[in-house]
Amino acid sequence: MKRLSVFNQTEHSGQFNMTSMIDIVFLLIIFFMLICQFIVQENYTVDVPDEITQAYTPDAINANAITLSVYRNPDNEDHILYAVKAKRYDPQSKQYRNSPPTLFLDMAQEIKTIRQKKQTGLIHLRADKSIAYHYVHKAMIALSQAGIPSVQIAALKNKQQ
Amino acid sequence: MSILTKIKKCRAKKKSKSVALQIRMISMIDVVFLLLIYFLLTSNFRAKEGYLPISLPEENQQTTTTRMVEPLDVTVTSITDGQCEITLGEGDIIFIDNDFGKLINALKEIVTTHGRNASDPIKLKPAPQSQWHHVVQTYDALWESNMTNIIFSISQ
Repeated sequence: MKRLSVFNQTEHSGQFNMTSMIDIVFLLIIFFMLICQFIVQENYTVDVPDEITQAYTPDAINANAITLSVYRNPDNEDHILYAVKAKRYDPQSKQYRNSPPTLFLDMAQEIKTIRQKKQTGLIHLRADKSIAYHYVHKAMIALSQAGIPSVQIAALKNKQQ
Repeated sequence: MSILTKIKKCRAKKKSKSVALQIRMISMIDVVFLLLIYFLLTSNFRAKEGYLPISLPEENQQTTTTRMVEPLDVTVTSITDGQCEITLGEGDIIFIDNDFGKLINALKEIVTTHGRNASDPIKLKPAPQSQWHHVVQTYDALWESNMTNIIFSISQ
């Protein structure tokens, strides 16, 4: 007759040792927090022109650059909007509908103000590739009115997937 | 060893066991996963963009420079998606269908046949309804041909 082992103190219960998983999860979080470069609110969805071979890709994003965006309204693709950094300008709004030149004067003034604060003259022009040129031309007029002599057009070197 | 002595030994072992500190990790794992999910959902990744420099005329520029060389007018007109027409100067019309290599070849020909230099000014005049993509690709083709003295005509 087999003796039952009364003194077998080790009870095998199913237990997951979570310590290693927590280490890995923390490492992942730290990795994402270090590599992410947050762009405050001006990251509008813009399909910039692609397959531009001469586009120069800088190593790091210049935080002092002023971004001027010309993009399609996500709710209505026929409606074109402008933005100077995070500030939006709507040509169809009550304020600008009756007086279109005021829109570009306001944009030029905003650019001048930001330029004085940041003491930078670097402008990034991000325009959707499918937009008609005359919309971008108006943004260029605003830049010219703000006294900006040089602008960088945002483009992708490779084909956008 | 008798059964009784064995039992006594086990009880002694139990008594002498020090109480181990246990930290309950379950709540922390919940919080960590919530943080991860939050960052995954809110992060909006964008492809790293490159830049093409352009120069604009300044407003109220009263000085007029007399140029020895007339700027070459390059007109861009979009026809359909992917197709556009580029007019070089007064005559040469190039039809582009997603391949701007033709433009580069035509520009090289102009440099050799018309006696122009790569540093001579070029005036880029896109049609108002032309696609921005075609305008930038034309600009890119000009840069690739080392023609970097490009002016965008600004008119209100």
